[in-house]
Amino acid sequence: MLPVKDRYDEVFEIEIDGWLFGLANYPGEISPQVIHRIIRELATSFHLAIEHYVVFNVLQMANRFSEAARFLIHEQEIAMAIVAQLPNPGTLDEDQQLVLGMVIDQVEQAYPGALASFYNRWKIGRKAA
Amino acid sequence: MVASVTNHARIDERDDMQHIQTQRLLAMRVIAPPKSRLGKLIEQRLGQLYDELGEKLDPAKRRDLSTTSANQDVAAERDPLNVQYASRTAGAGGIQGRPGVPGADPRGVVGAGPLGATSNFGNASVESGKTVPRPPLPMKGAAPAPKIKMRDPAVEQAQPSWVWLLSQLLQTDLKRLGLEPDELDDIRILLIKNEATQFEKMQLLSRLPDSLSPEAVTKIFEDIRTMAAGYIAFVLVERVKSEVQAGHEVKQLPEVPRSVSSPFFGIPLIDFDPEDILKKID
Repeated sequence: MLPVKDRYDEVFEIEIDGWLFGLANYPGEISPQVIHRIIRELATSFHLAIEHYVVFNVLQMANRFSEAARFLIHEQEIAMAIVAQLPNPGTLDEDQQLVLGMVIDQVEQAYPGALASFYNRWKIGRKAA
Repeated sequence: MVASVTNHARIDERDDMQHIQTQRLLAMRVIAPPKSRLGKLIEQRLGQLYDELGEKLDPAKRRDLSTTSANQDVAAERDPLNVQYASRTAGAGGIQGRPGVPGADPRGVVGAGPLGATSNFGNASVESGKTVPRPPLPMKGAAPAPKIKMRDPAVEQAQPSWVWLLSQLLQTDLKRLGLEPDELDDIRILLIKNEATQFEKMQLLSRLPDSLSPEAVTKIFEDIRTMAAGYIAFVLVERVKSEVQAGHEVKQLPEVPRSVSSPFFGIPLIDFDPEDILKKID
């Protein structure tokens, strides 16, 4: 297990807690578009978390987001949306790839085929790069 | 020789990439095109899917499904799986399977155009095999309408509806192109929005719901971001306070997560005199 850099796990946890707080306490109506927008916004944070060797639990995060969104979106869809925002393994170094593998592995075990669905995207991204 | 092979490989790879980009562009046009283009593109794709599926289905059963006349040629022409006929009449067909919609949709509801009056796609009651489709109204002086054959429920179940075809289009084609779940969601929303716009034109809907408006989504998103920023600021201040109270020296303030901070956060301000710059320009 790689040691977390700069205690980024704490920052990341607070960040996710903050978004969940905002989502859960928003008084108006929430649409799935809003949830996807938030997850897209968190793409940089996921990237930073992996760069700092933070192995975050995607399934737990998806469950919490689903709960905060009054179960408007299924946690599987949120988990897939999170995985879609993860960085391309081709752009990471070996240690970061290991961390990314550990993150994705949880999703793959819960929802087999998750990795394969994103493999093509990463392949295209690598070709374009 | 080696160089030639390498060049060929590069050309193949380039063509492959161009094809993928073209497909992506096509998909993006499906996402937000003018309405007529949306209908055309989806109908075109549905036609291809019909072609593929039509080959798999038993031709005899296909003929049986579409037979509303004694004339087999006319029946073949009206065959919902006959894409050539469908493409000629795309957009002109009514929606028999949608009770409550006054008249026919002039633009042809996605995939419903080619299905025409002889089709029962999308009609739940007919699909269940319990009811018989209405015969066409007899015209004056015309020969009496032939009796319509009872449709085989087993064949009906085997027949895909246009909704199923559309879902296949979204699930397979667009997914294969590497679209994200939220992009698929965007397409779904836009398709619904397209439908809702038609209802709005028909004055059946007073206004579009907020959830379909991008501006409303942005506003909600920014509100949630503000609440998240407030929560994070509160937690970080509490953390610094507790460390100070515990007698620890706080050398550096905790990092503010980027997703809630301003995109200009951390960029140092530069002091400058505008007059100096104007002088330099002169």
